[in-house]
Amino acid sequence: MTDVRITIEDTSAGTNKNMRIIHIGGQLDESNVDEKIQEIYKLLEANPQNLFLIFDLENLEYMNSKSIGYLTDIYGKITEGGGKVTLAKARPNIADILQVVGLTQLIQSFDSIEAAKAALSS
Amino acid sequence: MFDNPLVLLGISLVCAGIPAFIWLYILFSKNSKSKFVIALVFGLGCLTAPLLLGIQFLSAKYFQFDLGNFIDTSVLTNNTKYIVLGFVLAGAMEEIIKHYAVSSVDKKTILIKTIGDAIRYSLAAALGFSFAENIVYLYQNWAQVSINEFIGMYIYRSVFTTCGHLIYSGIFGYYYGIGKFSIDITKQHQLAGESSKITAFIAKFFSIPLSHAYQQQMVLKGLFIAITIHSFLNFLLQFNVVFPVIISVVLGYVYLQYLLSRKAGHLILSTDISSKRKTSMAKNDEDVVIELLGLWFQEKKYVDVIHICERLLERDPDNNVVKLFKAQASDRMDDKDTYKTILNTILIREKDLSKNDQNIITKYIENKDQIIKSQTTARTTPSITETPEIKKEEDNKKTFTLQL
Repeated sequence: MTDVRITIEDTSAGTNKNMRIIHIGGQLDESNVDEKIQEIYKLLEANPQNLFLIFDLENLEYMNSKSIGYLTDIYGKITEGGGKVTLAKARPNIADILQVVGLTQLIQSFDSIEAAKAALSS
Repeated sequence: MFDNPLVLLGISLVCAGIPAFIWLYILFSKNSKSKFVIALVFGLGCLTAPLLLGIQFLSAKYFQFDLGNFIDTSVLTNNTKYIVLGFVLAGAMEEIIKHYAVSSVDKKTILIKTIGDAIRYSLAAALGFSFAENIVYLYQNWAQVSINEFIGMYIYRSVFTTCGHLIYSGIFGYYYGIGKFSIDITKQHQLAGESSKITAFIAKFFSIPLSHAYQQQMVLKGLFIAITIHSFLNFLLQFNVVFPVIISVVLGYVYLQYLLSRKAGHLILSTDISSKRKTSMAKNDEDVVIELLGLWFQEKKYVDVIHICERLLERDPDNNVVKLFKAQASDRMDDKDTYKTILNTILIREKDLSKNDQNIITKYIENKDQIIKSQTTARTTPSITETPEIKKEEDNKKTFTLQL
C-alpha cells in the first residue's frame, strides 16, 4: 500500500463555525484511497450539517481518478448539509488536474490556509 | 441500329451512368472531400468488376470451377445448400474485391482519416463496381427482354441493386475504419470498461497486441456482415421474393445514414506525427484525468465527460482517446434523447428525468449558479444601487456560463 497520511484538525475554536482542516500528504492511489477516505466520511457522518472543510493539499503528491470522484462526492454531501469546502496550497500538478476536471469551478482554491479560513468564515 | 455492339455498349453505358451519377450526387455533393479522389476511387471500383470477371474466367479455365454455372446448376437441381454456398462465394468475392479498391489506395496514401472517410470511399468504390456491373448486365439483357421488362429491370437495378452494393460496402467500410484506428479505439474501450472477451482471446491465441487483434476482428466482422447480407438478398432475389428485399434495402440504407451521422465517425483520427501538437499537461496528470473520463463515461455522466474533454483538448488538442470520449458521449446523449423522445411519445410520464441527473459537476455548478442568482436577487431587491461585491459575483457567474 502506498504511503498516504490523512489527519483532521479541528479549528472551530475562535470561529462560530464547525470548521476542520484535513491535511492530506503522500499519494492517494488505488491501493489506499478506498480505505483512507473513510476517515473523512466518518467525519461527515458525525457532522451532517453545517460542516466547513479545508483540504490542505500541500503535501499531496498524487491523486488518482477515484479520489477526484470522492472529492466531488464529499463536496456534494457537505453543500447539501449547508456547509462549505475549500482547497488550500495545492501543488501545481494537483491544481492542474482539478482545473481540467472542473472542480475548481465548484471549490475555491487558495494559496494559504489563512485565506481559505477567511473565505469560510465570511 | 441496336444490333451494333458498340451502339449497345454506348446505350448501356449511358443507362448505367445516369443512376451512378445521381447516387454520387446524393452521397457526395454536400461533402467536402476532394472530387478528384472520389472520382479516382470510383474509377478503381469500376475496374474491380472486370477484374472479378477475369478471376471467374481464370477459375473456370484452370480450376474447372465456373461460379455462375455452379449457382445455375444448384438452382436447377434445387440444391439449397449449394445455392447458399454459391451466393456466399459470389458475395465474398465481390466484397473483397470492392474493398481492395479502397484499402490499396489507403495503404499507399493517407486516404482514410476518419471512420466516416472509410464509409464514404467504400461507397464510391461500390458505386464504381455497381456502375460497371450494370453496364454488363444491361448489355447482356438488352436483346433478351421486352422493353417493359427492360425498364422494370433497369429501375430495379438502378435503385435497389445499387443501393444494396452501397449497404454491403458501407458497412464493411465502417468496420474497416474502426479497425484502422484500433489503437485509440481499443484504449478508449478499455478505459470505458468495454473490453471484449473475443478480442482478448484472439490476442492471446495469436500472441498479438490487443489493438491488432481488435483490428482483425473488426475487418472480419465487417466482411462477415457484408457477405451475409449480400448472399441473403441475392438468395431471396433468386426466388423472386422482392418485397423483403426492398424492405431490407431501405432499412440498410437508413442504418448506413445513421452510421454516417455519428459524431465519432467525423473525428480526424489519422494525424501526421510530425504535425502532432504537444500536450501542455504532464503525462501522469493527464492519465489521471483520462482515467476519470473512463469512470464517468461508464457511469453515464456524459455532460461532465464532454466538459472535461473540452478542457483537456485545449491542453492536448491531438489526443484521439479524448476526442473519442467526447464524440461518443455526445452520440450517447443524442441516442438517449432519441429514445426519450420515442418513450415520451408512447408513455406520458409524470416526472421526466433531466439529462443532468447523472452528472455531478454540471449539476452542482447549476445548483451553485441558482444559489448565487437567488442571493443576488435577495440582495438587490431592497437596494437601489448595485454594490461592487454583487457586481463581482455577477461577473463570476458569467464566467461560469462561458466556461461551460
